[in-house]
Amino acid sequence: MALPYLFAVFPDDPPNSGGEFGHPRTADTRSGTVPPHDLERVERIRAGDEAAYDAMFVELYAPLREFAATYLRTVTVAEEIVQDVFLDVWIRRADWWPVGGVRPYLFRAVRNRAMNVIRHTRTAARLGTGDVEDWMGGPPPPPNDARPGAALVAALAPVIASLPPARRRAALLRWHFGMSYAEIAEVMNTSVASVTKHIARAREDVRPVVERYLKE
Amino acid sequence: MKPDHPDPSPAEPPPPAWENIPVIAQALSDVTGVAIPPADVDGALAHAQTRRMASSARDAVGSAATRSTPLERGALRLRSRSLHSSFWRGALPGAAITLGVALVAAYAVTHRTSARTPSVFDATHGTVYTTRVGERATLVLSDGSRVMLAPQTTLRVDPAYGSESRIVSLSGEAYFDVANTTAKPFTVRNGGVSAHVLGTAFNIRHYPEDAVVRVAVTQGKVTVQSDVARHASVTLTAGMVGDVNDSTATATSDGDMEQYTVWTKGNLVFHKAPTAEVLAALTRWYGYRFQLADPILANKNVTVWLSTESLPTALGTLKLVLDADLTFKDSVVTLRARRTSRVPAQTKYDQRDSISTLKAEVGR
Repeated sequence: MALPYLFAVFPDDPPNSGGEFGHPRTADTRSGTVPPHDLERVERIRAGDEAAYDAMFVELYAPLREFAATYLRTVTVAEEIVQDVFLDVWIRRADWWPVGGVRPYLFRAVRNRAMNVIRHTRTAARLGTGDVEDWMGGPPPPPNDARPGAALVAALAPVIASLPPARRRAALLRWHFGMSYAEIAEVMNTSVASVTKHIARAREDVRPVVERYLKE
Repeated sequence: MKPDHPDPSPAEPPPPAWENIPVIAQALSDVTGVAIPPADVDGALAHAQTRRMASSARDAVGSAATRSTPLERGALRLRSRSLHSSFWRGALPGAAITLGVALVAAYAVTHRTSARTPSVFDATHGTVYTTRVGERATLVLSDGSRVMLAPQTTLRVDPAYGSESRIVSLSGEAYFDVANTTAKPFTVRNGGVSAHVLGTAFNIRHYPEDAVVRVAVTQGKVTVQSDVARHASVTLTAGMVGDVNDSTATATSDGDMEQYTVWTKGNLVFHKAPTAEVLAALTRWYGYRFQLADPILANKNVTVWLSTESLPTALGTLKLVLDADLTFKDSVVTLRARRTSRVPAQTKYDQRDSISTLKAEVGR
């Protein structure tokens, strides 16, 4: 028969959603801080402001979709995950309190959902893949000779592909999505110190390639 | 995409000079990302707005905020085919056929918009929510009260809910977090017993095989009373557990309330519970049926903490606790006591090995 238990799925709540059901709710579900630049839109969305919510969607849909795709390889599933994350924010908007900022919160929610999907697919179970973070990535984009820096991209690709998963994930969030260390720590559910370490090592790993390129 | 760092933390070391050279920054960005077709943001926004409206419409009639992804929804449909029939035969013989047909219809309509929990609205009988084997659901009722349903649970919301009174009927197990927004009494009817509450959080459980209705209060105050014998009544405050049936009502204040609510977080806890109770719960959560090949296993009392995330892990733990061997055939798991009571240390403690073996067995 099929594997029913694999699909008995109860995805984690998005992190820091506050007032998580099952816990006695406190009078004020807001604990932890939302950075000042996000405060206004968070308050507006909490109050049910659809325009603010749509603006957030337009701003973050594409990067989140791309981020989800780094886990799943399938754009369709990536898109559905991002849609689910956004809908979940809307449904729980009254309790929504994205500690650490809107962007890292949504990235982390996407990451959690993507990992749940991976964890619960039949293939993952059959292979017994222990570390779901290993699933990262499609192939790096093919070098486009017409563009400046194509040679550099070609030289960097194998280096990046060989990075350990966590370091590569940190490099993605830093160099591709342009996040601060604090934001990366929030997304990866780790400390700023270990993000600092990952980035420092990633820089060490790519430095020889970059220096060779700069000499030429 | 050009990196920009809107919120640099002071602890961040400065990046090396080369990292800010545009060509290099662009190359690093390209090479760390993945190549996917560009996003259709407008189309996605339109889709999101449709789903948002659908969710608001459901909220208005007192409905479900569910947790599932598209993959899981597909999978749940697939799974329900194999398990549905036995559940209905066992649990609700009377209403099964009517309700079953109606549920299928409602499910077909709602699942596209992420309401995984089937619901039926009917002016006479109210709205009915049902969870199947292995399925939990969170409902938000029209007054903001929240209900989390355990697997194989049916909740019926009275059609007049919220107008004068708030009455729901339950079969199975649920955790209620009742909104104290009005002075309207909130009543849960379950197994011939009524629980009257006013702004509180509690767990209530009565599966068909349970002898009593068990109410565990985590916040506030609940009065539980038998519908037949009015003297069988008990008032519970936070931290108290009441067992009520047709003729008797008892209350205990048992320090550990977590064991009654921990299922809401996907765990199961048993404290000196008979084997049969543990296996009944596992059947509800996973759909596997269990057989005891040795009567000695039935007499054991089990104290165990199980995560319902993964059946192999849960069974691996159970296997150690009961000191039993498991065999799988179709969807039946047979438990057999180990021949020797003293198990060689290597076999007993190599849990990882036993879990991977189980995975292989279950996966066949």
